[in-house]
Amino acid sequence: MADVVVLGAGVSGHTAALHLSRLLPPGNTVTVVSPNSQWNWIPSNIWVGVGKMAKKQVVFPLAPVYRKRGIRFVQAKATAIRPRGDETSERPAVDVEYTAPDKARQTERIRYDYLVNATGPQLRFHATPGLGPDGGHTVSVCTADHAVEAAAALRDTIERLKAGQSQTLVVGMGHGTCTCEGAAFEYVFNVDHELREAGVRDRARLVFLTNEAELGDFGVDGMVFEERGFQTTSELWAGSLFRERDVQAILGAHVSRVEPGVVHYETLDGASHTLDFDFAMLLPPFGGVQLKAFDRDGADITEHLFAPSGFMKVDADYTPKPYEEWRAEDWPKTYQAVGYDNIWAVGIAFAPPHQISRPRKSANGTAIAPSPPRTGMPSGVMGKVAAMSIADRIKHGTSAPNHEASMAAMGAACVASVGEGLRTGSAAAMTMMPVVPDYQRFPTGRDLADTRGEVGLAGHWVKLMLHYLFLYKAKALPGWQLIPE
Amino acid sequence: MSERMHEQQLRVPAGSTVADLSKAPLPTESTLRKRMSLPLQVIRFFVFNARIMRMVLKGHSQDH
Repeated sequence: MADVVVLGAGVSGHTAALHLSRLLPPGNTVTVVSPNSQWNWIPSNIWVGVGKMAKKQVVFPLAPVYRKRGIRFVQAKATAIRPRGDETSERPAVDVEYTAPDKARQTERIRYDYLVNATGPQLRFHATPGLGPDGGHTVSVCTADHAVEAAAALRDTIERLKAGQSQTLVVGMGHGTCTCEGAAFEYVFNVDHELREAGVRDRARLVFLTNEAELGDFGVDGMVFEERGFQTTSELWAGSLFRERDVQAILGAHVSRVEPGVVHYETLDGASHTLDFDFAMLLPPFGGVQLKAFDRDGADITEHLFAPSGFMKVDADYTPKPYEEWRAEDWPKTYQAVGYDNIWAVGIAFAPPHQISRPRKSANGTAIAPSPPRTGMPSGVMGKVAAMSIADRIKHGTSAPNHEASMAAMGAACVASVGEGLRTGSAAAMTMMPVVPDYQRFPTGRDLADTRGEVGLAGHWVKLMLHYLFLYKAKALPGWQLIPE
Repeated sequence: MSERMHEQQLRVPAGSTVADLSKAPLPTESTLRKRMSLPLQVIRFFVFNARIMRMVLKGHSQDH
């Protein structure tokens, strides 16, 4: 009999927990530790952030789902991992601090036999002075609550536009090393749609401020599409949409600080600039959550388990090498932690071997390049793969082989809504196969048959379908396991 | 279209770092109509989902 602990209840952790509850024989336990009491379908925060969806439509309480699935739910944040146990026991343990109101700040040491680290990102607004909704001057759509605030700020901006004032709206990345460019891309076109619906688009200047050196990079080094007998690029495809919708783009930008109504940023040529704004939604850079690791004797072994970014080191090739020498094989397959065959790190929590986009620095040496995205479809697949590996070990012994799911062999869909409404909506829908380009297998890095981009109403329907489908799956309603990650 | 570009250029402040997108292809009226055409988009919806399912079958299980 074994005890499995899952840290985090986002897409990856929640997927792992649900599959473990399905795969493990009776007598084994699954415990989920998450500081949040609710599950959030983050892709739909975009619609909350423009006021088209209410918060309650994108979240639901975790406790009833876990009760139904026989999973223990601990509303707490993990603070330390003790992979070899402590002075009282050789059994590994994780230290947690409760966040639930009735037990706030109480601590517990939870023993485990297998651990899944799916702690997701720490939203590092503090990396850019003045960034973010908590004490800063910009809004965000990273959480459902942030998105509610963003919608209110956007509503105020639209009111000022209706009153005849000109307004500048800035959407994008709040730091040179941000990820999730697709989310900002999606938000800027939803804002454009809202402004057009309100009849005030002509008085608004809409600016997309991004760390991508080229439009359509999306943190995956861009894509090549095949269209009508020609190869074209996601740069041209995205540029077309920006030009059509009159959204201005500032590329290769690192936001260095934000003051009330002013963004300060540096561009790849090393020059410093300012941009005045009336409304700004800028995403923060991500880091790993602040988890420590200790050996049995209490020695700090954090750097053995975690990269300096705070993400957990797994079966990737972390040897530093130039962009030209990056290979698909650098990327992890099993997500098993370095040195511990009973710990897995999945979703945003694992340390990528390097970026996917070409690394760039400004003339001043400032890193300005997207970090690799590891959300959505790949994140769910990693969670499932970790659950399957653990279940096999429990059922067949510790020599059971790990299941594999490399981002260099798995595809992903990115459906960026660019407007709302069953008849009037639209979306820029992309599929890429694989996520990490493999130039040894494909001349363009990806399989052209599955790497596509299209704009249209159908994309909006797909986005809406995914919203309802993944909420259904996450609630573990009948047949949930049949819905692919 | 040229009017639209003219408006955009007017709003870009002098010395701005805004990218020049004047070479990006603009969709034709026919393309814009197709993007919102119900019969065509119903087909695109099923094609897109079929592509996602093909990717799921090809890449989500990589066990040997």
